[in-house]
This record gives sequence, structure tokens and C-alpha cells, in this order.
Amino acid sequence: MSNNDYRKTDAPDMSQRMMGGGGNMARQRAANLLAEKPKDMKGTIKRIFTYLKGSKVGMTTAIILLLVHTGLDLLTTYLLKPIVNDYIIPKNYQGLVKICVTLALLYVISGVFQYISNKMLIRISQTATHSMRSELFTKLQTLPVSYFDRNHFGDIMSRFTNDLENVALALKDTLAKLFQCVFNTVGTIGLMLWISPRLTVVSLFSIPVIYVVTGFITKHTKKYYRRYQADLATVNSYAEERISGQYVVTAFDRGEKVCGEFADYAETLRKNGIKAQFISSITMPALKGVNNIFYGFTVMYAGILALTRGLDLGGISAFLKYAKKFANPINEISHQIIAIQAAVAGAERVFMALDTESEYRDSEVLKPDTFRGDISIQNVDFSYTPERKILKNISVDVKQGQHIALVGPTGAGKTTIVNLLMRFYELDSGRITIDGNDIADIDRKTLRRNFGIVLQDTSLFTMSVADNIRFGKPEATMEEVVAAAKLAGADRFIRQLENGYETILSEGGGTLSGGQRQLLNIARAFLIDPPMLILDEATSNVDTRTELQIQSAMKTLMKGKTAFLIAHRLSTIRDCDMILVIDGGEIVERGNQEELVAMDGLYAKLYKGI
Amino acid sequence: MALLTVALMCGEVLVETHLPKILAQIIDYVTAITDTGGSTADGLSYIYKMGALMVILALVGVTVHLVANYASQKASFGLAHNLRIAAFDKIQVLGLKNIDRLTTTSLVVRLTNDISSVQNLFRQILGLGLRAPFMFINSIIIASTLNKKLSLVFLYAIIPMIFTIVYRMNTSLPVFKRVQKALDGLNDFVRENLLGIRVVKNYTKEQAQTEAFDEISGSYADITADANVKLAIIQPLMQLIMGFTTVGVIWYGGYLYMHEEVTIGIITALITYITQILMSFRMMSNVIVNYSRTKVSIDRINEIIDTDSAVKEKKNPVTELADSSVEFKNVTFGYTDGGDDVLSDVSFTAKEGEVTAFLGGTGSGKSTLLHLIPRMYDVTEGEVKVGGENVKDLSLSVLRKEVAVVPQFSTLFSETVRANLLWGNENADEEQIKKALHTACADEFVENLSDGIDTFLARGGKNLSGGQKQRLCIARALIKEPKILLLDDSLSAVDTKTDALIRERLAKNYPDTTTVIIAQRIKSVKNADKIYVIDGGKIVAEGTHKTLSQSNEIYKEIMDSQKEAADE
Repeated sequence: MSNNDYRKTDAPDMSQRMMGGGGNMARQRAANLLAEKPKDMKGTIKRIFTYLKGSKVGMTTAIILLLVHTGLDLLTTYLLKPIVNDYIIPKNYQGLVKICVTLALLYVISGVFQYISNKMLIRISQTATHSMRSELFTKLQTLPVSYFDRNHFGDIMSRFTNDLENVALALKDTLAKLFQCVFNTVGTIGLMLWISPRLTVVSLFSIPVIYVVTGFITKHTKKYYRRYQADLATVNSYAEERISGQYVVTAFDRGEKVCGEFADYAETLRKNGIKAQFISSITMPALKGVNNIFYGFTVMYAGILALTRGLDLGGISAFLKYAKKFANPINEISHQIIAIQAAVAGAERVFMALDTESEYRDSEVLKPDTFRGDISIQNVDFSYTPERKILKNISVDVKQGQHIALVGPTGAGKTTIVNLLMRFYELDSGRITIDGNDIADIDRKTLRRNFGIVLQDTSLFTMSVADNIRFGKPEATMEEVVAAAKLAGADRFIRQLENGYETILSEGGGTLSGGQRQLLNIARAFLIDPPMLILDEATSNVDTRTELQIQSAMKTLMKGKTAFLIAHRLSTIRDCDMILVIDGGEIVERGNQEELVAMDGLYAKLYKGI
Repeated sequence: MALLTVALMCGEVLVETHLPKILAQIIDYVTAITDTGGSTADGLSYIYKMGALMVILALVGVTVHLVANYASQKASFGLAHNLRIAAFDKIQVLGLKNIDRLTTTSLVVRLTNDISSVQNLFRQILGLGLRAPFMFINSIIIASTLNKKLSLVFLYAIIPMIFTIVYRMNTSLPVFKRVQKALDGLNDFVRENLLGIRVVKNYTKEQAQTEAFDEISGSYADITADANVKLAIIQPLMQLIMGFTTVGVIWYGGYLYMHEEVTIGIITALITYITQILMSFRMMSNVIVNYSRTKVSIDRINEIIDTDSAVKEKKNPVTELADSSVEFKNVTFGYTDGGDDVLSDVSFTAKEGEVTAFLGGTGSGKSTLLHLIPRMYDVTEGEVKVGGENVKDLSLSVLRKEVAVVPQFSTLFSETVRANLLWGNENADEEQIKKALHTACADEFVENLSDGIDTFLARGGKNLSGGQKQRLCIARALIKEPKILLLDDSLSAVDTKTDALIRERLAKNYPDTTTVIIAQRIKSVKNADKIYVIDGGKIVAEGTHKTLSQSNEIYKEIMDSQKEAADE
């Protein structure tokens, strides 16, 4: 699944989960089975509880209410015994009415308690999840760019979606249910023992059987489910790839062949899917079957006891009601434990992100009010991974207002220089100074604010065009915004948009052409008017006219500012004060146009090729 | 299979619903014996018999249930399989016009998520949708045969139950739509932030973003909580109804017992039926709620299957091309019906063996023009002729065999290099492959791949550079040994030297091929036999490099903007 589809397809279907019928439950359970086991169960749970700090009382109250509700449920069933024995059989109608009213009252109280408890748990879990989510996002804002380059975008997203949803679900349902199930099981068995220890023994025989059956099923579910999921992924990615390449499929008249291959994959999926889903769907009927069989034995034995030892009818009625449902909480407990594991594993991943070191340091104390723009790069070495050096011993002095062209084959390390100047990454060795100050001592935010970057795929956000332009300066007036747009040559096309400057850009400006997006980026930089610039001239998929517009806007923007230019165009390169030819991470040639052409080296070769 | 499932499910329900009845009989028999002082031995043998019957029924029940489960899985997977194949096969013949309209992403979602939803719904219907009503009716019937008067209590329970379920159905859908919308908003915000993290840091907007997110996250939490609270009333309410019904049965049952109209066993049985009846009600509502949610998916899949093919082959089409020329006669075309025309009144002829080039900016319509030649789309007006025949009269497979396209975006598939190349011609021999690779200047780098020509390509050809991908796409097209070769800005990522070399080898190795080139750069079209300048969907100039560079203003303007480059 590609990143783009991620949001729509992988986002957890909450409603499905919460309203879920049996099939979904089984599916969810099987899916959770495949989730990785948490590494530090105890520590993580403890840490999750820190988010419940403000709600400790609430949480306890909710659980107590739920236990009272469970106790009342058990009690109402138990009441069958005295009702039958003491009122119905002796034909005491007055007493029967009284106890029926009591019973009805108990049901109402129990229902109210359950409702209140649910309501509290919902609020508590949402509040806790919200604070975890906010903390996670806040933390992400402080992480170095390398974190986002290193981690897959989809993975970070799923911290926000799947992982936190699992935690929310656990806080709302699982925890309370676990208490409830344990209490229910203990209570049921206790009351069963109270009514008839002998009968209880027969019923309890079912527990080991249930244990073995569920264990067996779980083991096999895992194996088959994994294979099924792999098959599903294969079919889906095959379909996605072919449909995305439909143009080629059609042009090469491969429809039939592709259909045949797809049918083969789909057939494998069908076969394995039936197995996997069937095995995971066995649990419920199997448990019910085991329970019903033991129920039969219990009934049989109850009859015998009634005949030979005079077990009372009321006792039998109540006991059988307990026996009928006492396997449910046991089954439920195993569900909840799996759900808790999924939640803890999710929380663990969230905490891992929270524990990543932030890029801001206390040592960055310099906050100059203004920057002149004298940049000095001294003996800089840099590598993204230890194995591969990207920059080797780079040194260059740039005076205020100079324009530097970075030239060289792709992958030579030109964009890396941007990453270092902005301190998106740390140097391996050497240093970079601005106006004589080491940038490692300058407050990172101050540093970044004083750089304007216009890169090829700079992002736009879902907000109005005007807000996108004033992204770096929210307090800018409309006049300033329009002035910046005019300088960037973007004013004309903005006015042609449906709502002009107030047009909301959807999907990151996906509706705009590449060139238009670029012009908005330039307008953004004009508005903050930074003393230093880093520009990437590359414009793919831009028509000639817009390209010229971008070029001239960049030229205006650079006037009087220190600028690094990742240049592709001869005319721009020629106007620069210095050209750095970078190849294999080193500055192989430097000088102005004439000098470099005269040198007849790499530049001269590139120059002919451009 | 589906019918079998239903039959089995019903059998299982019969078993399930009879258990309480047997229980009642046992209880009453035992009562009778203890009351009248009958023989304990008789009683025991009766109990053994009935108890054994219960155990056997339970065994039968679970077996039938398991078989039914298997059948329902098989049926629902079968349905999903058939839908998947039908939809996928249909997509293959939809034509690009429809695919553009439905969008690739949406088609993929339909083929994956939507089908899964339908499959789940179908399984649920098989498993519960019919089982639940059957259980409901059966329980009522058995209960009323046990005691008509007492079973009337159930009627009173059904009314509030219906209200609860109606409330649930009316509340849950809109409520969860709201939750989904809030969730989408939240995810969008995070996504944009993550993808634009460099911009956020450049403009030091971390604080502002954090504050904005805090608000979004908070309101999402509130909306979710509200939604859940609204639905949290349902479970207690259902339990309350069950509780009250139990009270009713005990009360009225006790009353009837005192008037000798009902036995304790029957009262006990009816209490059990309450659970069964109300549970089946609940399941029915589950199915209905799920149906209304899945309806969207069903419609979306149907939309694919019901869509008519945009490009249809004529009956008894022409299967032979007279020559390899391409001709446009007053062609007008727009992507959407009634939308803007992308091409208007375009006429030209590309002669056999010649190189014809189209030059123009983005959005000028030059790529579109190319799509019409292998009939990826049908023209709105005018005629496209290939080999002297209107493409509408030609057999599609012949047309697409003779016309090879190298698309603008190098689409390769995740299989080996060889498998990708063989898309052009499955029966190509080593010689043909070599020739094509050599012509496309791809032989060297392919040899240097880890497994040579049998190297497996990553998704989207990610283990290759842009230029390498383009060259493989060219080789793939050449393996067809096509009469007509279409290059859609296909050399943009290849360096100048290789670009020239490829064109040179093309002319040498495939001399009879008619070539149509589309480009943005003058350099790539300079040597063409004929150059057309296209702007705003119209041909505005034609000639050779020589004539155009002297006489045509637009051509000169483009040339000027690329001047230094072109002259060097």
C-alpha cells in the first residue's frame, strides 16, 4: 500500500470495531494475535497509568460501579432460588409480588450503574488518549529531521492511528472488563459452590477442556492467519500495481494475461482465506459446544441429585442459569488479554517515539537579532550512515550578499549542504559559522527563521492561499501577502482561482501545477524576507513560460542576500559570484564562469551537456 | 454453498432452541416424582435418557455449527473471489477514460477494502442474518407450545426492544460518520505536518502546529466520547429489557403456577428463551446496521461492473495494416464529455519510416495526441488513421501490437527485468532482446545489475534511476518490433549523449519504423523529418528545424529560452 492511500485505507475503522458483530470480533482477535508481543509489559502499563493521574478517582469509581453492576447481576440470578423455593412453590403471592418489585429495582440500579460506569470510562480513556496524542505530536515537532528520514512515514502515522486507538480501547473496555470477568468468574463459581458443591465439580470439568480447545485454536489461527494476510497483501498490491499501470497494460494489450495472473493469486487467497477464517471462527461455536455438552451432564447430575438427595428446584434453576453462562467470562478473559497485549505493544511504540532525543539543546543560547549573512564552512565532513561519507572536507567562505552556485551530478551532496546549514543534521566534524558564530551555539529556531528555502517539492498546507503565504509570518496583513505574491509573480494566477486568496488548498495544493506551487513558495519567502537563502532551481514538469517566471522571481528574491543556489541553468549559474562544482562529496572545482571554463575540467564537461 | 449454510444454521438453531424444552421436561418429571412419590429408579432412567439426549444434541449442534461455519466461509470467500475477478477483469476493459473518471486510488480501494466489507457482510448475513430470525421465531413457537399465556409476556418485551434497536440504527450511523470525519481531519493534519516537517522547521512553526494539533486532537476526543456515550445507553437498556421480561415471566409464571396452569420447568425454560429471543433481535439489528454501512461498498463495486467499456472493438475488425503511417483528420478531443477540448481540429500525417516530432509546453495537448494513436481514448470528432484504416475499425490487439508506446512516466512492474521486457512480445528470442536493449542503450547497465537481466525490480522500479527506467521502457517497446513507435517525452532523464546515441541506433536498427516523438526540448526534435509546434491544443506551426527556426515566432521563443543549451 503506498503512502497516499494510507490514510483512507489503514485508518482503524472505529465504528466497525465498536459495533462489531461476531465476525468482526473474531477477525480483530486474530489480527491482534499477529501483533507483536510487548517487550516490557509491566513498565509500559505503569507508564500508561501515568496518563490516568488526574482520573485515578474516576477510574476507580468506574470500576467499582462496574463490579457492583456485575455483583447485582449475579445476585438477581441467585434470587431465582428463593423465588422458586420460598414464594412460587409455597404459593405465596404477596411475597412473590414483593420480591418481583425488588428484582425489578435491582435491574434498574444495575443498569444505571453500568451506564454511568461506561460513560466515565469513555471520558477517561478519551482524555488520556488525547493527552498521549498531543504529547506525541509535540514531541515529533522537536525531533530532528533525520528521524523523519529514517522512519517510514506510514509507521509514524500508525502511532497516531492504530497504536493509540488500541490504547484507547484498552482503557475504555479491556481494563474494566478484565476486572469484571475475573469478578464474574469468581462470583459465579462461588455462588455455584454455595448452591451445590457436587454439581459445581461437574461444571468445572469443562474449564480444562475449554483451555485446551482455545489453546489449540489460537495456535493454529496464528499460522494460517499469517499466511492469509500475506496472500491478501499480494493480491492487493498486484491489483494496485496493475491498475496504476493500466496505461501500459492497455498499450501492450496485456489485459488477458494480467487477468489470468490475478485470478491465480486470487485463487490462492480464496483457498488459504477459507482455512484461516474458518479456523479463527471455530472458537465461538466450539466453546458453546463444550459448554452445552457439560451443561447436559450438569442437568443430568442435577436431576439425579434432586431425586436422591433432595436438591431444591429453585437451587437447580439458579444453578443451571449460572452454568449456562459461566464459560463466557473465561473466554472473554483470554480475548481481553490479547487486546491488552496489542494495546501495550502499541503504547510501547508510542513511548519509544516519546523517548527519542529532541534536537534542541540548552547550549544553543545565541539569539542574534539580525544576521548579516557571512557564512563560513570549515572542513566539514558528513555522512548519513557511517559506511558512506557524503561530504568530505568541505570549506568555503561566503561574504554577505554573495551568490553561490552549487553544481554537480545528482547525488553529489548538494542538498546535504542545505540539511547542514539549517542544522537538520549534525556535522561529523568541522564547523559552520554565521557572522563568526558557530551555528551549533545559535538557537536553532532563530537560525532557521533567518534562512529562506525554496526547494523543489516544498509543502503547501490545507489552508487558504493567503495563509499559506503568511505561513512563516501569521501576523502579516493582507496587503503584505498580496505584495509578496506580486513580487513572486504569483498574484495573477491566485486571482484566477475560485476564491482568489481565500481559496482553500486541498490535499497540500494538489490542484495547483508544480510551477504554481513553486511560485507560492517563493511568495512565502518574500514575506519573511530572510537575510540568507537556499534555492533549488530544479523545476520538473513546468512549462517554459512558468519556468521563466520562477527564474525571474528567484532573481528578485536573491537581490542583496547571501544565497546558495542549487543551479541547473547556465544563465543563472553565470550570474553567480562563485560556482562550486561538487562531485563525490568533494568540491572539485571552484571559481567563476570564465575561470571554470578555462580550467576545462568537470564543469566544462557539464556545461556542454546542460 | 450459501443454501447449505442456511440449512445447517437452521438445524443448529433447532438444536439450540430445543435444549431448554428438554430441561423443562426433566425438571417437571423430577418434580412429579418427588411430589407423588414415584419410583426413583424410573426417574433416574428418564434422567439418563434425557440427559444423554441433551449431550448428543449438543454434540450434533456443535458439529453442525462448525460445518455451517465452514460452508459460510467458503461461500463468502467464493463471493469475494468472484466479485474480485469480475471487477478486475472489467477494469481491464474499462478504457482509460473511465479509469480517469473513477481514479486509480478509488479503484484500488474498491478492489480491496470494499470487497472485504462485502465479504464480511455476506458472511454475517449467512451466519446471523437468517439464523437470528429463525431462532427468534423458533423460540417463540416452542415457548408458546409450552405455555401460551406465559409466552405472551414476550410480546410486551418486543416493543421496547424495537424502539431500542431503531434508536441504535438512527444514532450510530450519523454519529460514526462524524467520528470518521474528525479522524480524517486529524490524520490529514498529521500527514501534512510530517511530510512538510522541513518547512515547519524552516518557518519555526513547531509551537503553532502543536497548538493547532492540540485543539484538533481535543475535539476529536470529544466527538468520539460523545459518540460512544450516545451508544453506551444501548447495552444497559437491552439488559434492562431482559431483566424486566424475566421479572414479568417470574411474576406471571408464579401467578399461573399458583393457579396450576404452568409448571416450574416451563417457567425455567421460558426464562432461558428470553435470552435467546432478545439475543437474536440484537443480532438482526447488527446485520441491518452493518448492511447500511456496507451498502456504499456494494454500490461502489457495482459501479465498476456496470460501467460500459469506453473503447469498444468493432465486429469483424480489420486485422491487417496496409502500411505504417499515422494520420489525423480534423481531430477534436476532450477527456470528459462536455468538458474543455484538449485538442481541436488537429490534422497531420506521419509517413512510413519517418520521424515526426511534436513540440509544446505542458498542457499544450501533445501527450493527449499520442494517446489517441493506440486508441487509448476515442476522439470526439474527426478520424485517427493508422496504416490507412480508422483505428475504430481496427482490431484492438492488432493495433496495439503494431503501435508501441514509451510512456512519459516509466511504468515498470515488480518482476524481473526480463519479464518486464517480454511484455512487448512474449515469444521474443535472446537475439531480439539483445537488439532492443542495445538500441535503448540499456544493455550495459542491465548486465551490471546483481542478477543481470533476471534481476528482480522493486516496486515502481525503485532500484533503478530515472534514466535507466526510461531506457528499459524503450527496450520493452522495441521488443514488439512495432510498425509505429511513440516516444512520449521518453528521454527526459537520459543525458544528452545517450539521447543522441539512442536516436541514432533507432534509425539504424529499426529503419522502417515510423516514429512519433514528443518533447519539450528543441534538442530532442532537431533532427526530425517533420516538426509540429502545438499550443493550446492546436497545431500552430509545422516544418523542419531549419524552416521553423527562421520563420516561426513561437519556435524561436522556445529556442531562445533554451538557447545556450541548444547552441553548445
